Amino acid sequence: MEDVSHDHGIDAATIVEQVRSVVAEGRERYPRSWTPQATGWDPVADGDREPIHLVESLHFLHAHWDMSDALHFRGRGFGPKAIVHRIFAKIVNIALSDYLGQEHAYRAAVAQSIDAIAYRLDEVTFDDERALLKSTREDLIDLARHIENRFDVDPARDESSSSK
Amino acid sequence: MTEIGTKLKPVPKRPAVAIVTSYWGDARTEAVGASRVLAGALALHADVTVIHLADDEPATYADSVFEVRRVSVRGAEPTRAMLLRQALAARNGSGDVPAAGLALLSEYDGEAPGVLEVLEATDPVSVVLVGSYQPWDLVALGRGHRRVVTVPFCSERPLFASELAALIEAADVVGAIHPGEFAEIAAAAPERASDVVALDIAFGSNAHARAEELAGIGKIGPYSLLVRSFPEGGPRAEATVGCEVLRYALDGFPVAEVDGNTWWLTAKKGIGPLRVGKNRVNFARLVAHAKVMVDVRPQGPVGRLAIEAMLYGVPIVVPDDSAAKAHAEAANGGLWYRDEGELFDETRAIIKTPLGDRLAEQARAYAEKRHGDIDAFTARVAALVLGIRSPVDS
Repeated sequence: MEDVSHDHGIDAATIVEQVRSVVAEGRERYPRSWTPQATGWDPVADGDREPIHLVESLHFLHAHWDMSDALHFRGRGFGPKAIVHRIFAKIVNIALSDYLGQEHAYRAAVAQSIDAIAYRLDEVTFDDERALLKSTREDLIDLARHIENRFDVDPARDESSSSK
Repeated sequence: MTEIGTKLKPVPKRPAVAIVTSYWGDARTEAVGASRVLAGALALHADVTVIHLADDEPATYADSVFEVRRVSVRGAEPTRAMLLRQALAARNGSGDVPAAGLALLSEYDGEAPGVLEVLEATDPVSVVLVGSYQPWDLVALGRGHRRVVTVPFCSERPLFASELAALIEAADVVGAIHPGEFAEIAAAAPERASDVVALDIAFGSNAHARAEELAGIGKIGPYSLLVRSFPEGGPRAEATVGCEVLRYALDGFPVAEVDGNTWWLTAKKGIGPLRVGKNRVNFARLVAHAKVMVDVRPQGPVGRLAIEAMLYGVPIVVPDDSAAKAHAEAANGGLWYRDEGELFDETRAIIKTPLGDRLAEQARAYAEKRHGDIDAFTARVAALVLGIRSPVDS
């Protein structure tokens, strides 16, 4: 795309056409399509809920589930208080090491589970909404076709059938 | 200061103007915003009554400087009407549909006979029909009796040629909200093409935003901006490229994404939330210093964000067949895409070549000339609606 010429003036429509013609030659490597955009229908607005995996508390959970920094913090300095603190912390850590290890694994599993559930819920929700919109749109195009066919029916035949 | 007891000069009587629209109230859509801007511009020259067509009980109340008369629309089936309209448009485009189809749409649109009663009671010198949804007897409005202006918002919903022609027929003059409307109006009513006037709606640009970029974003260098939704509660792109995908397509060029109140920044170090206040000033800061603004939202009838970005001298990449595209084309200040592939190509062309700087210059020049002067805009609106000669025109 970088070889788009700039010798043709500054007309945006010309540039758009030139970009399209370069693309038609298929020289680019990056993706050429993506999921469809919203149609702009009002029913879509009802489905415009924020995905669960974007909820702030979930991001907080991911950022803080580990907590091993806090567990291994030994304090600063070499005063009597700091030394006592470190000794005490070491004793507690040794005594509770099995429990703390299990709790760490448990927190990781909880965070992973919540994440998986959030993504799965989002997938299911959006898949349902897309499927619903797709079927609704198809039904309505059928409906429009049906209505138009009704309009195209010979009026004379309609009159004769109604007079019977 | 006037002394107590001094006889004051009588205040000259201001003309009364009525605006008939369904675009009023709390919805944070571009159409509602544009209706308010038009009403505000008129309020500088006239007493404005807004006749709000709504699926609600009639009511009269004050809203800012406007008197609002809410008129009930009876028998409307808006969802069915919208779905049938979309389905017919999908099959017919903006071309005409069978007369019986229009009759069915008209039935679904309901009726608002109360509009004529309010017009009779307020007796305005001018009536402005804002938006194409006007489910009442336009013929009874009586063109010639008072000045009638229609601002149809052609891009707000699928509008069939005969519907647009009926709106134009009822009006003395037509206001076009974006340059693309001229062609649509000319196609629907060729004999009235000379009665179409460009409104060139004006928006202010924020001087602080222009002077200062968003805190902390400077360290990543130039960036592109992807807008999926703004403001919060407005229309949102349901499923489209995200900032990570765009950054991949742009060979790692940083991308900021605005999705309502969720703002992201993706750069070399990865993706993270932008921790700033999610307000209009910060949004303007983000826009004003972007290398390019890519707008993927469902588009409104005005193209407000496109105009605002161009006022900051930022080239735009916007969906084809939209009001924003009409501005980009008229200004030669941006490019337009039909699918995500073209979106990538055009954004790359802007950030990787000198094209971006040239589009930016043209965007700013056009936007400042056409959309940057609020006084000239209010004068244009007064000239259009009240027939007051605009000092700009003269």
